[in-house]
Amino acid sequence: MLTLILLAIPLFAAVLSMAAGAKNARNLALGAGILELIITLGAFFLNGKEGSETWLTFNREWIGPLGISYAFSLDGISLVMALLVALLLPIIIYASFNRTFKSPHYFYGLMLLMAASMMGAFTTTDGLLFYVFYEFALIPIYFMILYWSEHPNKAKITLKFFIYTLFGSLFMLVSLLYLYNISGSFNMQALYEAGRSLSGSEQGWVFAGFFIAFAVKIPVFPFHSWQPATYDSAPTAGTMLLAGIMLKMASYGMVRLVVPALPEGVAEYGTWALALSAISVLYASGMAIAQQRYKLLIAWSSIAHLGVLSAGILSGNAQGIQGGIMEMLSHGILSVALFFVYDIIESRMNHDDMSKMGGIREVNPLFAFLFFIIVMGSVALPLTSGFVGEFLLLLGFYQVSPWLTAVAGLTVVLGAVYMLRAFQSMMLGPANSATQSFAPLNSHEKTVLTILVILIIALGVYPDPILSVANPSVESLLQGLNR
Amino acid sequence: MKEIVIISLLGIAVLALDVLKMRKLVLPVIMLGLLGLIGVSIADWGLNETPFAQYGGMLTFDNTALSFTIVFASIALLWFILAGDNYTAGTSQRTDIFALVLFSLCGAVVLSAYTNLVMLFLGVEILSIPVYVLAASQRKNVLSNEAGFKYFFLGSLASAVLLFGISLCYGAVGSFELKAIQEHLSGGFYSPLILTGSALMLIGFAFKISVAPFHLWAPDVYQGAPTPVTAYMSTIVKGAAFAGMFKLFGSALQPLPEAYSTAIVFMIAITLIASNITAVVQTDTKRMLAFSSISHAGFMLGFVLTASTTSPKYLIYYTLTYSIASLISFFVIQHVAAIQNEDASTDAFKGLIKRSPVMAVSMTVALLSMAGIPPLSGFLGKYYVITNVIEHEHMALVIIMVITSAIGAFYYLRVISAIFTPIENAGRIMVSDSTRRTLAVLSVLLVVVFFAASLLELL
Repeated sequence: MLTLILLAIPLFAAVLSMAAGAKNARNLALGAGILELIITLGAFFLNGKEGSETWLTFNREWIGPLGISYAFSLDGISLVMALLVALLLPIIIYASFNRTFKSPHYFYGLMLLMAASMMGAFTTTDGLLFYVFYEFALIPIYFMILYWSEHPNKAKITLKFFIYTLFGSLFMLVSLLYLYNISGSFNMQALYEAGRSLSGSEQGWVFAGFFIAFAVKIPVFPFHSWQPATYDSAPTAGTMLLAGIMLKMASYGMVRLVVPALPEGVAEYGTWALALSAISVLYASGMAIAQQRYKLLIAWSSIAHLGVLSAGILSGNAQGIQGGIMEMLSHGILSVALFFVYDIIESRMNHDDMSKMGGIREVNPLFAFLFFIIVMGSVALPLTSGFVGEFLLLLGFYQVSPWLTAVAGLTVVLGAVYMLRAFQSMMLGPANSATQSFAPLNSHEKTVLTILVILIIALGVYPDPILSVANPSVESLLQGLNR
Repeated sequence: MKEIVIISLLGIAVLALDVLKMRKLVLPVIMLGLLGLIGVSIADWGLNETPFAQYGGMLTFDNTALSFTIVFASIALLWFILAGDNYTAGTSQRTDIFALVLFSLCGAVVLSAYTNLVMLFLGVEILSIPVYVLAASQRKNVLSNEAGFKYFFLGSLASAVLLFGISLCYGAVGSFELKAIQEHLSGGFYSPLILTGSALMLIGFAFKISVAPFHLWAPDVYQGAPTPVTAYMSTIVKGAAFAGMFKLFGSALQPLPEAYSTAIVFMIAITLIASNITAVVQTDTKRMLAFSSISHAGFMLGFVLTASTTSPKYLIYYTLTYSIASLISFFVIQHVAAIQNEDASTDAFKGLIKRSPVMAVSMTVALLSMAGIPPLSGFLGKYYVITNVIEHEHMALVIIMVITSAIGAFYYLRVISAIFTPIENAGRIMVSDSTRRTLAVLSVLLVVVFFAASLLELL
């Protein structure tokens, strides 16, 4: 029941927002986001209680003879992912309040539609429905960039983004259908059994299909080339949705579909995927170091962190997956925070060239302080949320390949290089003529930043609620796999 | 039987109304007649009526035939509502054009109900001949004349090839009945005569449905014909040809020799590759949609390839959803081009979102549906094809389908991004209320049909 409500709220609010007109759109969207968060927290509370099954799952036939059903379930992993959506949605909506958009009711409507599709992808237990939600999320973000971006090349960039991701996910469709052809049902349990019954080399092919789809979206080198330009051209709210939530659909898909269904495929061909992930980490870190512009630096750093994420998940053991789930949540919060910092800077300076800034700490110490904590989270300092996730991921990865782990582990070192350098060149040093007039944070910006910083620290100091909710589900997911 | 009578009488009645100078009644009468046709088809549901039993029962209105009839009649109904804007009461030859469409619709119904190769040929001809005339109906337009001529010339060649194939089949089997042919082939042995015959029939149909390498007439004809006629060709004419082909290959030429399924696989592959790559370089949207239509024919041919195990309802679903999207897109092109000097290039669509929001949104939905993006119904259509093809283990074909789908998305999105590109001082495009409402309803349908796909299981 709750799963349906979680899906219905943003969907309904999106329609309402588009119909109601520009005036109250943002308040309506924020209201829907907060309601969504409350219900998700309710589901967290119900989790593991007796008789909560009926509340947390839903199953109704859709196209019966083809084995497709409207099936949703909030198990531990899905709950954490639902929390990611429900937590970030109101924050992203509230963070957009200090910008004005043309036709805001459509802008917020599309945001809510996107939230609905991502919520659907994270909670469904039907393979085809997962694909449908996964694809559908593309449409709102495509229009958000196409219509609200001010980038001169936006038409080309959005086209590349759309075709690239569509191309990848069509391979996932083929892999799904291949499994379905054996199982006769899209129920995920049936898909797992079908996948495990395949021979090693068949599993390898099916794995390749899934991996292309997810590697494009995460993105993993060499499928990443759509990402920096897309992040750069999207309006900040769109970038937050993309980096914060949407890309996690791919890593979630790896957890939910690839690892349990194709153990031999992962074992046999996973090394290639792990190597690509490790290259991805190195390459993206190098690119991040070379960037002059803050937004592009964040975009590249995102690729670096997600490389570790995909490597950890594909190592296929409990630590890797636990770490993956934690990192998805943490990276979501951190990237929203980092892009919000971009939004604050850009709204005051009208550019994000780091070499032309400096000394903002002198003018605005509070902003510099909050930004510093976010940077610490991003470089995975202990006691921040980034640490828990990345530590577990590397731990999982280490059991498979110590050497590649050493390479991927460089992300922490290199991350410190570019993040601290960015912080230094923007915040420290003497203030120049441009930064001297850096306006103080308004109350609304303070609220958003404070909430984000509290989350980063709280999850770093006390990650147990998340880990203990996810743990039983991770174990049952890995049951029957001899790894 | 009643279905055929109703349609033929309707066509004659329309011509009579014109003679009697009651032109205002033409459209209402057509609407009522088509609604009646749909009603009668629903009433006949499950009866398996075989009219003319004394002549050997050359038509059978089973549920498949009836559902094709209902789909064609509904699409025709929508076509008349949308075309009402182009052919207003004063237009010359309006009634002639409407009557021709009705006569051609009659051929479509025959093609979905035939059980005898003679009826198959009659159906193809009744379907095509009015459309040759329709394609050339803009008499003063050179392109329209060229389209009519080309279509007539190649269409009659295709009919001749088809007829030759039918006669060879008759020579081998000694009967035109689909059942008799099926019995003759049940051992799996194809005599050289019937082997040649079925090859010729395959080629004849390949012309009609415009799949490679017999598709070269289609882009010129689609581009040159008046846009409403193009919309008609890409929906009902194509759908009916597929209904006929599916029946022939699904219930008569079974089991299909290995060489023929290989041939069909190759046809699908080159159709998809050629049409999608050519579509990418088109600047004219009408021509681009012609290539997209060829690419969809390639997908639909996937149902014919797997006709032995596929239920026709999936073909019906594909026909319906593609037709809805196709109607929307061709009529939007018609309205956009009409006010800017018949310019249907991609650039003509710039700023459409401001100039006519309803047309812009419905065009976007239609194009996304054709591209096969969920949750639009076009996705499920492609999904059904791909599942069937995977079941028959043509993995290489599946990969080609997938890659060309992604290429397809490229040229559809190019139009969409033009639609949402703002331009300076754009005037609004005015269209009638009925067109606006119909377009809106159709685009909502494209979403609803996706979620209500389980209704298909009722067939």
